[in-house]
Amino acid sequence: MQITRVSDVPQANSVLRGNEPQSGGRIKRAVRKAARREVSRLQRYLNATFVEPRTRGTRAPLRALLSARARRLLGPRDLRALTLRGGPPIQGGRRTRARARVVVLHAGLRMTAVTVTYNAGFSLLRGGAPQRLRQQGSMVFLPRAGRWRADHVAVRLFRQRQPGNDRRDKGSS
Amino acid sequence: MKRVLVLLGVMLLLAAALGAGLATAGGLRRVSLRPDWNGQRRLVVLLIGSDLGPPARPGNLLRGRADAIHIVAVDAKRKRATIVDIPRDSYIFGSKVNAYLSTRGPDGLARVLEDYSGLEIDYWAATSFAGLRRMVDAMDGVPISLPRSMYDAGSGADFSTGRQRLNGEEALSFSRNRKGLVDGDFGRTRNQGRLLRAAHGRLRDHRWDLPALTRLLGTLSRNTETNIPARKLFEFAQLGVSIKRSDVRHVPLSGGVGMVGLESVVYLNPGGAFADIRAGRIGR
Repeated sequence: MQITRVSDVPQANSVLRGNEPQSGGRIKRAVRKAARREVSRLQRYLNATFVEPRTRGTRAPLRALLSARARRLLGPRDLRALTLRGGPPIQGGRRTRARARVVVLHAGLRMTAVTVTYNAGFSLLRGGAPQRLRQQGSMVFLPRAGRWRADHVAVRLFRQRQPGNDRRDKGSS
Repeated sequence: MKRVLVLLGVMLLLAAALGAGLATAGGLRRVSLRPDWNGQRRLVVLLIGSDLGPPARPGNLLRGRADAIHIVAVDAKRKRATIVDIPRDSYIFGSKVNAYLSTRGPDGLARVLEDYSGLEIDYWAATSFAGLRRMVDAMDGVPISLPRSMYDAGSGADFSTGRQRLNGEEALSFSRNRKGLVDGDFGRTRNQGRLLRAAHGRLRDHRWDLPALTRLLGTLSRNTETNIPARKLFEFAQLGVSIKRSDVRHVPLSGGVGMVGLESVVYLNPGGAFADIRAGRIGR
């Protein structure tokens, strides 16, 4: 997944004392590292859900993506959008273009929230028919008991026209 | 007339069916997950507006005088909140309440208000004039509806009647104006509470625009001194945006005015405001 932009949002309130927030090289490196780490986590979920033969179409990839609190909220409709469960099985799949923008909230060197906004496409073979899907939206990754997981999620899944036509269906726009 | 209504109903049904069909054809699915607050059920936060802070008023804002004092109680389970406005001139335990910030700091002010209200204050957050200005500007202004026009040269408040969106500078004037109001300190404090409600509404507008919410939280955090841990900020925001605007109750405290020496003071009559919160009656 290509990261097109990383925004650095400091929480340090030195501005209240008339100073600019710290933004040294170490902080910038830590921000970029956190952005890459969470985008990789998202990418692993996308590959495992839509491409990997062993895990595609199952809810297993969600364990490494969502916080326990967020997983408890999942209903059948959410599972369909996040894992394609409940529909025809995925017989084959590959990822097409995927892009992400990242906003990192941090208190100095401590990262407190990483928000990834992404748009990822897939070419799948489902129920014997080729299908193009696109998942897009945002996830906020927060540290939960030492592990970073997506806790706040606003994502949409689109079915697109057949391969070779990259435009969305009219009804899904 | 009846036929027209029936026809209109049929047309609406057809339009809905067509819309549903299109959505199905596109395979549109949405996932919106925002976990519930998993901390304590009742949360009480003291919000303080200090009269110190650079650039206009250099100094430590936590040692200024509290120009704005509000207690926000949240019922995290029922997703309701109450904002109680405390006039800064309130005479509490032998002193004006606004002086406790300069003499005892935010923790001391919180302890005084705990003793007075019988509530346990979990957290406090303080900002300066410049901080308020920057936060409102980051929200792209806040909408306020004024029942009557307002003018006060001292604070810079000059607003006509009706609904308007205040930028940072205007929001500061609006919340500082006392002399242009018939009920002085009570009116000013009530307007500050209205500004808080409006700001909550603006934050809630961003509840599913997660990058914007993240940026906004950064701005709020940069312009606030608080004992809320930085790592908890997003969870607090999740709780805040889950409360509907209509479920926020605004309680401006009333009372009488008097003099202590040469100072004009407010004798508060909190009525049932704090008792309601203590009994768990929070929000509307």
